[in-house]
Amino acid sequence: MTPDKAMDVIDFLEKNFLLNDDEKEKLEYLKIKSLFFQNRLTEALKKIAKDDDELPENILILKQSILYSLKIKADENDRISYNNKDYILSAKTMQLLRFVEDNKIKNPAPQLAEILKIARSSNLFIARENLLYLCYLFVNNDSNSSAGFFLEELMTLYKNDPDFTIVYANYLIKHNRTNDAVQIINSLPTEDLEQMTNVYLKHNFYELLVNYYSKINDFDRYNENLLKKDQTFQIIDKTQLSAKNKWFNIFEENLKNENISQSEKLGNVLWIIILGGSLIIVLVLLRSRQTNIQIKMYEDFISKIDLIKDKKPQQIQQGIPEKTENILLKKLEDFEKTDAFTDPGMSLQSLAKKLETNTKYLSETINNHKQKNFNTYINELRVNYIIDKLKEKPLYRKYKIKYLAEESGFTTHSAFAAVFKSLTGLSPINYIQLLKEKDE
Amino acid sequence: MKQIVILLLFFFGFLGNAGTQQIKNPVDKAEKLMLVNPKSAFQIAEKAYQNSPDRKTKLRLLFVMTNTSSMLQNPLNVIRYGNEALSVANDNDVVTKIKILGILGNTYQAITLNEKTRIYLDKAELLLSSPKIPDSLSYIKGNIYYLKAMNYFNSLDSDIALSYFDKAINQYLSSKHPYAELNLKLAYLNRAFTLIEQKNLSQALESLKLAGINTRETSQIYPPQFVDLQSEFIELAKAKIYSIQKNTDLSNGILLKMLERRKNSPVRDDIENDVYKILSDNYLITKDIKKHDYYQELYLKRLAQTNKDAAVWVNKLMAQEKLHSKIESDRIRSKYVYSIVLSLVIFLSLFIYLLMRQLRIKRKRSLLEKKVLDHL
Repeated sequence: MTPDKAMDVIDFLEKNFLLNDDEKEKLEYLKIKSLFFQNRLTEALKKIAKDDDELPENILILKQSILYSLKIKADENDRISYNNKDYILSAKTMQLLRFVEDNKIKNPAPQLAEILKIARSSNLFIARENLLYLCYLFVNNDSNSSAGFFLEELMTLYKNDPDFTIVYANYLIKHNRTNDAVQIINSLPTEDLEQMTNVYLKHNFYELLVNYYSKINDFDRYNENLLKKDQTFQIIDKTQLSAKNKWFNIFEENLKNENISQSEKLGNVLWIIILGGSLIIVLVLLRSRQTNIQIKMYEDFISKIDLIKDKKPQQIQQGIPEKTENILLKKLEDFEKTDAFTDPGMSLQSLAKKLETNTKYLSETINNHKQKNFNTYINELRVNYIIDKLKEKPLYRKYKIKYLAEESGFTTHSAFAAVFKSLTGLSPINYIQLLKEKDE
Repeated sequence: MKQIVILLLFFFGFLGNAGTQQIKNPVDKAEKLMLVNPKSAFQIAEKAYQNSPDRKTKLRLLFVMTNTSSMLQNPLNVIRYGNEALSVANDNDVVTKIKILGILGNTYQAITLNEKTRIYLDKAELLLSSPKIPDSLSYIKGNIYYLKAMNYFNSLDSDIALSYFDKAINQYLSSKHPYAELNLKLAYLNRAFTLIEQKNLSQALESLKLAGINTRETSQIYPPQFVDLQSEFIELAKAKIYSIQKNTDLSNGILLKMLERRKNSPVRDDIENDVYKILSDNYLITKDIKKHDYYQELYLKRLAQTNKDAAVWVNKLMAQEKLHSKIESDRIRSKYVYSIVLSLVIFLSLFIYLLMRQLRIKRKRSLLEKKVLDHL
């Protein structure tokens, strides 16, 4: 009778207590029902606008009741949980309502008896609205006087609910049992009913009074209550029309959003495939490029090795006495066995001095017998020195290139790397890597 | 009152003539038949539409299908083809757009979806201010204002309704369109009903007078039953005025005669709802509870049936929208699934090709590496 107060209590509970999911669900149900009773349909509709599958069963039943009051056909629901009596009762009641409205049933007594049987062991609060619709349908449908037992039984089940009392009293008036009806009317809390915020109950109450005063021909009271009834009817009618519009908008919006959401989801999948696929392709291409670079490097190395092998000794120019040249060659062999070439200050002059010859003889001997100039000769010795170290002492493989350059007599590591690569076809790093692989 | 809205179905039509058999082009034929034989016009347009015409022809055919569906009282088709026409129309088709928006608004009104009505009519009204609308199209302007007035009238916003009726009347008065005269009378008639709601009876009577002058002469282009209906509504308005003036005998006399006339009519329409309502009001004034209850019950039953019928259309419309949404959803899904499968095939093929290539060059590298290691 006072759904507004119920709303206050719900708000209080929500604000001041820590509620579990079950309690929250129950409060949500009560909130929707309170909004519905207060004719705040737009707010109620917003709360039941979710997809049926997302709603708890009690709220789903309420949703179907509210939509029925707006004459909107609810979705066919295949979520019939046969263990849930409330849902079975709701489904059966709704089915009977449709059958009676469409005149598809002549004697509804067996169905009513079955509904009553289920109702006795169901949650009456959840079943209330649908059963009430059924009652009004039978009261307003003169041909179905067989519904008397159903109304009487429901009045017993809902003994403290004025709506069921009112509908039963209406039934009595329609069937000329005015004396029985008047007793019920007198027992109603008239003042409370006048003040209540449940517009539907209020309308039903005025309708009962209108029917009663019409029966006893009391025009003044009839007219007074007719006015009140018409006022509440207009309020309900206007709100229901607006709610129907609102529901249609929600329905259209939901359909639109469903398609947008589906489009977005599939679009995301497509983007993930395109981006993921592109990334994988790029990675594979990079890997291929790396492999190709290595192949090129190995090919260079092999071609250099082949070149060295194929190199024919050049004809020796005889500008230097043979004896002197042999002595110098012997000295050079001895020099090559030492580490003296790792001296960064090693030059043609210093070596000539060291080997007790002149630069001309030394240069000519190196050119003729080693087929290279002095710098290349020294650099080769240095690189070969470090290669030997790398092969013999694995510890060297852990050294930095800068250290290896210094160790072999190069002043900069870049010069060392360049000479190393020109001689071996491999960078020092690649060379060390290959040595490691070879050892493994 | 809803019947008045149905009268509007002729608002956007063309005049038919006897020479339609000689017209070979189905589009022209459908347009010519639109008013005289909407069913046939619809069938011709529907058939022509299946042959994938160009955009302009498509729009013309969709307009014919929308308008004839409206005349045949098939709101589902109106909404379907109307919205399709709006999606086909471009910025240059302002006049067609306005007409379609008007028909759509009118259709939503007929199934009591007032908010949708207002959305479409607001769009139409906005387009009326387009520079592409010449002043000579005052007839179309009048129709949109009229529909807006009816929308506000149905929403019980009588002040706004009156201002729109006045706007519509001004446009009709300046129009030379052959239908403007009868539409003007429709506007006067409904203006009168609005004034009655406001209990402004003297102005309502004046408006009624203007609604009734030379109706038959000015509306020869319309089928006679629509002219009769206009006259019936004028009678209804008079009965309502007498009822408010508590002159129940005169009012009842008119109403009972109306019921008598309608007994012989095969068509039952919403005008009877109002007759029963006024009769029940009259018997309440005379303190005749029995008769009041009798007519009140008839009124409520018919009202419930009218609401139920409207609800049936809304439910059908929702089912249609759901079906279209499902078709659209399937279209989106298949489009994306096709793209996804195509992308997967392309990427997988490319990946397999690159993988094979990579394996090949890896093998080559291994061989070379082995060779290099041998030389180290």
